[in-house]
Amino acid sequence: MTEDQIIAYVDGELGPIEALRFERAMEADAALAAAVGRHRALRDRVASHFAPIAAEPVPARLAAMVDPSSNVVAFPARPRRWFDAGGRYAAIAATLVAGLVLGQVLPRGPAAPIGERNGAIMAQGGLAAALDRDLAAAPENGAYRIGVSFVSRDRRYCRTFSGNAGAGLGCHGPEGWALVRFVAGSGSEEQGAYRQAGSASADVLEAAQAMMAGDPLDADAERRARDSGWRLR
Amino acid sequence: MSSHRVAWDETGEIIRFILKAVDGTELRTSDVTEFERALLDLLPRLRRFARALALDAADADDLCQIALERALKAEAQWEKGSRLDSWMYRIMRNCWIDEVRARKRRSETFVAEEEGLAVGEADDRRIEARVELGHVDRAMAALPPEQREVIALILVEGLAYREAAELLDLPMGTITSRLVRGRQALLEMLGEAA
Repeated sequence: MTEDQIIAYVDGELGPIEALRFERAMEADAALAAAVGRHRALRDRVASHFAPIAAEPVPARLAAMVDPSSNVVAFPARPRRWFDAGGRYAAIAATLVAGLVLGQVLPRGPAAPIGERNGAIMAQGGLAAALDRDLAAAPENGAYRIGVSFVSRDRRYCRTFSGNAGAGLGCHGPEGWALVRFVAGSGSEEQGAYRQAGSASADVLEAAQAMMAGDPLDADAERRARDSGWRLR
Repeated sequence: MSSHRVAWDETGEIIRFILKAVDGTELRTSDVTEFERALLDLLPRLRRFARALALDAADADDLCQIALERALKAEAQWEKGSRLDSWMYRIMRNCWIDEVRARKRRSETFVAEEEGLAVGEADDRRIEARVELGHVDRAMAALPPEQREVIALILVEGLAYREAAELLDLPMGTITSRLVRGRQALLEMLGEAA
């Protein structure tokens, strides 16, 4: 076997029949097997030496050449500019982006938990049903868990929820449940990769507290509110 | 908050929802083109390729920058649907060769008595001074450019021989002979326990 053939074998460039023939030869020839081992080790060493570079975050100056606001993509774990750029909604968006960039993309379309109606984000599908029906005191085995229900200062019933798709806060109006807050990918504890967005529930609770008039509903009040169709008298 | 361009449609859409809901703010969604998005996705690999060519981290990112500038100017020449990675590898490789040649000219101008010094050796000498570079870097630096680029494309970037041959506009035989010589040199430098 020539050196050409050895490296072609190591690089996976031999056809199946040639490769088989090569392996036969290797079984009978310890020196050949050793040469293959050396070349394979060399390939591995060179490849693994440079491999970590592709895993590094891309320097902002490079990403910015392609897209001035691209750090959402270039720095998946550190959406820094969003935080710097402005106040609280940048922070919310950043948390959301972190969740999404880590691999979760919310489904869209009629089956998605959130959708847009007349310029407002509305809960829909299973999420809307859970907000309509479920009681915190009697959790259903659905995709969403209801947290706190309360009356907001602008006189609406509002409820926090969490699920695999995310955690959020919705308030009831004539159109249904309008989402005031939604942080993607924070609901499930076992999703280790999304754990960093685990402060999502805290973020949602904080928002709820800020909106709350008085105390959260107790179990009785929650049930009465549901039975009234979430309409305040 | 001048611009809120977001590269990803999905993400952008949802953020737009959030911003509307929280503040009544309308988010301008992405006007990043398909080309730019593909380029962004490719950046980590391009940086790796640049490092395997230039070896020094800062030089490699400079090379990336030059290649990106050239690619963005030449966007119209990229055929939609064709492989952007091959196209970008080729641009980067050409930028690197230009830089290698320019460096060679400079060293010839300033160090006339070292005429005949191979570019690879010149690179090696320059890089040798930086003790933090690993053995693999030093061994790669000692390879002549035509071997180094073949090693970088095939061993580092994992291209098939045929892909490397097309990218470099070289016959397969030339690719394999450079690969064999480059590998032998690396084995010698890195020792048996490569």
